[in-house]
Amino acid sequence: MLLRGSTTTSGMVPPIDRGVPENLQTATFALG
Amino acid sequence: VGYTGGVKRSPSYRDLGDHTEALQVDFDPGQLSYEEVVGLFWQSHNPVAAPRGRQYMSAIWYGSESQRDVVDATRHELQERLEQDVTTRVLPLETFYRAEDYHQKYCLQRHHRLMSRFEVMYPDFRGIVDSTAAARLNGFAGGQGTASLLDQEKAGYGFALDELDAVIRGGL
Repeated sequence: MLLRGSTTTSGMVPPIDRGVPENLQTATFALG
Repeated sequence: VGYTGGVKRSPSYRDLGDHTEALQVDFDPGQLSYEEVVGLFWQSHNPVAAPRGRQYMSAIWYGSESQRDVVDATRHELQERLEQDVTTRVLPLETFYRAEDYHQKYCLQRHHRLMSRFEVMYPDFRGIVDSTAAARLNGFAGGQGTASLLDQEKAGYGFALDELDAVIRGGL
């Protein structure tokens, strides 16, 4: 799996995707 | 988006088992607190709806005791304010199964030109699912945000202006 913000073999990812912090938190909700 | 809360292994949309349709969001706690994220959920959700079965059950799954404390406190506050029973369940998060690709970034997927750009940048679709740019543009494509906000952050996407313009105008 590609790391977020990494350079792919096909080109650069959007600037906003680069340097995503490591300490993200996850929240989980129902869709309904 | 995906499925969680049940015991069936590897659920799918057509074979959900005892899971519930759910969404998972990664956020930077330096920019936004969990309490603020939970507050957005309460605002965009009917917490007193009658339960409609497991697939569409209202729930928040907590990933830590501190998340649980926030959910319990805000749920209690909401219940007091509404003076009605909040039906949203508060449950420990176990396995979250990602839904099939065609359910992900659903509004953005209508924008074929932008999607083909993302597919070049992220040959593995999971990269698009995890992309902040894709998540934000999916929100704009779904009618959230404003043209001026998109204009302010356009440099962060690295796309041509006409490509972004279609997202906010609803053009395809």
